[in-house]
Amino acid sequence: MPADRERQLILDVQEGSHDAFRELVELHMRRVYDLAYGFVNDHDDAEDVAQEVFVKVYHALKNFRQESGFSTWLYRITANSALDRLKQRKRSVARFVPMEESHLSGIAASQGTDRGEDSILIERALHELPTLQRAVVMLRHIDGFSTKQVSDILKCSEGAVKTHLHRGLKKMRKKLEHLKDSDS
Amino acid sequence: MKTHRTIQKNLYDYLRNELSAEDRRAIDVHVKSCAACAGELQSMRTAMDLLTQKARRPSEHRSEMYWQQFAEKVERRIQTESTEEEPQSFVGRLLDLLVENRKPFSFGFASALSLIVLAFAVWSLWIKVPAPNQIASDSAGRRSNELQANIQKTAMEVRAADYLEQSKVLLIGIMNTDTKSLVESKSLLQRQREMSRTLVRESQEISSGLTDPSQQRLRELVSDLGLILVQIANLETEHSVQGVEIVKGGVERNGILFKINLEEMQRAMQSSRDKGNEKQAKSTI
Repeated sequence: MPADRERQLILDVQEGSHDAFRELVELHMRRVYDLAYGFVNDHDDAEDVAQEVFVKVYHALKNFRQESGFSTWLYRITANSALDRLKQRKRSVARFVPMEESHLSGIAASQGTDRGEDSILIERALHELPTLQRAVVMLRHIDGFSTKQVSDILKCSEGAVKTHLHRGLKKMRKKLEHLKDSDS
Repeated sequence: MKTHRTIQKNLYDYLRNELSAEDRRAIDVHVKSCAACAGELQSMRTAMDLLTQKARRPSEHRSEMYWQQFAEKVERRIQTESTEEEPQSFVGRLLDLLVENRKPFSFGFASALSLIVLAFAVWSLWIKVPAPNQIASDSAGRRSNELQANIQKTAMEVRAADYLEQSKVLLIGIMNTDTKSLVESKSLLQRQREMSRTLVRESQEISSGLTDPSQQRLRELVSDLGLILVQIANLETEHSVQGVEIVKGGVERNGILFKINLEEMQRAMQSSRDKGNEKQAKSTI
């Protein structure tokens, strides 16, 4: 969507248009969900956080100035909300959440090929990474944000992002090898 | 000569082509003679390739239906939260403020204030024994509020019944027409899309108006129907055949027409029960 359209939507929401808000939600909902999942590592929590983010955005948009980028602002709210959720539930940063079988079988059923099996292994490996490494790897390699954008969203230096990426990818590779060995 | 540590630190940038030519050359030279760094490079490359080519977004685990309902869920949550957030009294806010500060003085002050408020409440109860006509007036006020709520509830149900009736006509038209001839008759399809758009708007207003717990089933039916209508409203001319088939499948799978008929039957039964009660009440009088 062109930036002009997004700007117009924001203005419309600020003037009270519900249709514009709905369009804005539909435009960003998947990415917000993906980002939330990157932190909370659980689909139910990701859903709740994503909804909560848009409720916050709805109230905060009234005072939003278009000088700063809307997407970065939105993803920062998402990252903060997801981190708050982690704190609330007293989860440790490297907490392991067993992956739900329904999600795994869902992927296998929808793909049913080698690609499907690889996808499952990648998701398992990602699932087992520490929170920040997983979030950074997903933001950079699945969501396609640049290193600069990731550092803006997470409010850390680009160097820190690269360090997390390096460590995350390294661990992922090891986990993938381990998972492939144990599967075969 | 660069160390393993420096080389490995730059491997990610190397793979992303984000290094200067000089640093890139240094890595090329190093990995030719260093098996450990070459292995590390290969390992990272494989992980990055796998991620790029085969990883799925978490949002892809959710169905299309889920995403169609997402914005509506957010809107419902906003509505619910705004109704739950009742304005707090001045005393309540003051007490909260004092307790938040957590200072001994604040606690003392808060306790004193609470005692004063409590004493005032007891005093006003003691001296204010409501007169019989005041009790009657309160009770009349309550009845009037209940009546108002009932009128609103019934008005929304009538509106929902009208919406169901119109949607039923539209869906029967689509279900009973051959997909190919429906798509070929562009004017008919266009009319159905326009009608759906109007009904979608109607469904959003009705859904938010059906707030009583007894209206839950009706609200769900209105929302399910709303999703089907959105699909009809968004039918594209180029891919209409596939789109119409999806709509027909959705109507059949969800038993939408059956549910509408059931709702109509229940409404008719309720209406005849109400008439019976009315007659009985009149005869008793």
